[in-house]
Amino acid sequence: MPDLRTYLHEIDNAIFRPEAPMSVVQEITALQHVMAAKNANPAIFVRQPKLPDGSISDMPVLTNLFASRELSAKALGIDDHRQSAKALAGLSSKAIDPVVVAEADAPVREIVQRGDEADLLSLPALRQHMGDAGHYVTCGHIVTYDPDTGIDNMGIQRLWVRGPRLMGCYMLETSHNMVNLRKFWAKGEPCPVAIWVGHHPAVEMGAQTKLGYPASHWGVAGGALGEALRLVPSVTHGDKIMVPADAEIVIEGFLPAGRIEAEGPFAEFSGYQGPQIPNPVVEVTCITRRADAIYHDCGSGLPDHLVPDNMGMEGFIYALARQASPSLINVHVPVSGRRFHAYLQFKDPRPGEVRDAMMAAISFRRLKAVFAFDEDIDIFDDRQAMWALATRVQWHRDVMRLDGLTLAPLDPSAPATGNTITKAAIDATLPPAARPGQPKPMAPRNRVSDEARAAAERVLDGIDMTDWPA
Amino acid sequence: MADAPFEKTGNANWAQCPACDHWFHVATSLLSMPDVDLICPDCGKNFPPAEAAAVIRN
Repeated sequence: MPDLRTYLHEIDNAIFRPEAPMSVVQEITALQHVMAAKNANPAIFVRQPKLPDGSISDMPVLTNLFASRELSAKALGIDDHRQSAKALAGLSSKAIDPVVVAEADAPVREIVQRGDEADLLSLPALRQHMGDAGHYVTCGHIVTYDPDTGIDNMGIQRLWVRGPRLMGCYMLETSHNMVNLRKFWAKGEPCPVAIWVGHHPAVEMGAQTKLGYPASHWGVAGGALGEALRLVPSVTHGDKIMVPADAEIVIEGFLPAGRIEAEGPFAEFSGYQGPQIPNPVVEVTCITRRADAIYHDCGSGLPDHLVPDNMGMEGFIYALARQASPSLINVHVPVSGRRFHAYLQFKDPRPGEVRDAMMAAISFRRLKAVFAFDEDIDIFDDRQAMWALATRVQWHRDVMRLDGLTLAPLDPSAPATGNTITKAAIDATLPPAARPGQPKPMAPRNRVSDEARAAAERVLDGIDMTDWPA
Repeated sequence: MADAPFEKTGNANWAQCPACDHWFHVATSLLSMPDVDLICPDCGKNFPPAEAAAVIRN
């Protein structure tokens, strides 16, 4: 069964393994920041994570697993990361039902710690950034279920480790886990929960696919992996909450009814700190794990965090906008725009189609602005996107301002009051040619011939340019 | 604000810990819950919003 270990074996030459101990307090995250600034995106495997008391954790830390678009796409079986929008748009139709295995066949049950034996402080959870409230589990997939139908839901949400068996849990108001929690709480009951950490990245990315409510994510996660996911009933909740048999760690417990406490601050995806907010807490009943578990961290606000989320968004936006415009050929949600910007690419759109597609895309809650480009613009290169904006847009003509749309969560520039914002859609496509095959009614772009370019590349072939001026 | 819709205004609230004077970023929704303690991310002290050394609201 493919799992995190089989994947790490596959990408062995794309893993950086620092030999010296590294502190879980900011040092490992700082390494991610330095690497991201150099656009170097290997996975990072820290064999000797140094805990706050100076001791070395027995459990290694894996982070930066998703920082590379190329590797993340390949983990999903997509050869070219630039084609991930189309591939991920169809993911939910390729679901493979999970299978249930016996506890004895579940590596995640090699160690079972119940009640007072369970100790969250034994996990090398990182305190990633200055000002964070504490150590956070950042790659925990939280599983709850709808008490009306029994159908489970799953999503990654930040978890603040506050004690051996207590965590703060940031549950976005609009999340399906919050819908489930509110149903339990309305009956005065605690909400059962299980949180799994660490699996094959295809499972982790597939599990994040946006689905309707209620809808289980296990099938889509299996579809992303290409085979049925192996599940086992949780220790605390039995078959009401299943967990992946091949995960690294599972944390089980309850969200006590009505118990709201302060949670945060926490450095967020936007690149800014999210504030301390009121949130539920998780009371932990049990931790199960592999005997040699790997702790999987995700660097908040770094490519490690943004790349998998944004690739999933590309699939979702492609599916939305393609219904409005068959001339839409690709979507990119660039890391530079965090989750707030989407680039749409068109080939020979009919009059009106670009705006139709942009209107469909902007309805996605996370987005603040969408940008439309022609096929000659590389939408994976921000410099080309900015060039098109500078040279193909007239601001009186090509900008749609759309008022009263849903607020993008955790937008640091959002108005202090109100629940809606104004969004923008910017058309940077060229006007169409009068007839197919004729030149477009715009000045042609500067070009050199293919032969001249090939000659230039031959001149540079084999030359080390690393010390040349930037 | 209605008279100057294009002026930039802030949106972040700050609370100051009464024990260690650390300033931290707090949501309006939390400040409006008098029965829920704030937790200083620097020293860990729990205190109700009314007992903050200072609060800056935006």
